Amino acid sequence: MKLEELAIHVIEAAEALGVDFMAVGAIAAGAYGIPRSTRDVDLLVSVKLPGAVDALVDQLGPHVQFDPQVVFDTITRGRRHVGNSRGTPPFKVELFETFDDAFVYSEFERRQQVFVPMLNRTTWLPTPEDVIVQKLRWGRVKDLEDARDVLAVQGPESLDMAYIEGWCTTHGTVERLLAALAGIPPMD
Amino acid sequence: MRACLRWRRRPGRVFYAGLVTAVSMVGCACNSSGPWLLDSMANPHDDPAALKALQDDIYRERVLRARGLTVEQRLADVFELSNHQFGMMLAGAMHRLGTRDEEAGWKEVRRWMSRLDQLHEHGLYITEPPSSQSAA
Repeated sequence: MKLEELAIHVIEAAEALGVDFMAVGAIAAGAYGIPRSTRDVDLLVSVKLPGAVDALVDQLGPHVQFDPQVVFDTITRGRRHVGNSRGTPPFKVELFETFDDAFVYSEFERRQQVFVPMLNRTTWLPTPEDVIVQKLRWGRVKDLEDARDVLAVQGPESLDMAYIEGWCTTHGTVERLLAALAGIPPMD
Repeated sequence: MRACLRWRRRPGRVFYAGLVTAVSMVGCACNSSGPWLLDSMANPHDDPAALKALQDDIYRERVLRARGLTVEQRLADVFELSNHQFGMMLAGAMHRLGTRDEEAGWKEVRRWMSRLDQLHEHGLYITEPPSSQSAA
């Protein structure tokens, strides 16, 4: 199975169940930054529909074996369902549940629909600003590189920097933002 | 260096800018349009400023290439790169094991990925729900 085929399964299952979602992780970062390889199909999924996320996990059963143990990330405390594709290559599917967090509300509200020819369908993505804020919030090496890449490719002049700075102030990640900006060489 | 950039920007898919840059440097040396490499054989690692300039040049090229793509094209690259990476990992695993058995190769790739997960996710996840969790 190819990564895009797995992504189609996940998106189709979410749509069939009426679960609101958006792609996050490397797929979202690659859409606005410098594309890089990933093994993950990561979705932020809404929990507005009771039981829908569990139904999504069940629906994906033929393609993805989910760990019965739900985990919580130590940064935002969000719930995460992790699954491994049943075939090869060993891709992963990660479903991050929405939770009571002002930024999560904001980024989900601002999500954008994008047609992806390779998937032959539309899907939902965060805005580039929200990718940057989220990546800076997580702050792992790869996240910081992704944030810098999105800043560099989109260009601060075309981004809503006030929005980004506002959330970075809230999250205490302004230093990371400044470091990311400082890491971008002149493009001329 | 400008000649190098022109050389590198020939049509064609660029999977790994760093590798392409390295190849193009050799290419420039061979066709003498970028003689600095052959003339001096300078190692940029010996000169922090030169190394930074080289790193910036590589990064700039990657950014400018990405800017030339649409969102859809960048997404296509993510999928292509990801599939390609696993093909390379499988080849590497089979080589390491000295086997032509793909299943054995995939088993080894899974083992590698599991180790990477442990490294990348160390300390990031807990199994006990935090006390103040509520659904949005």
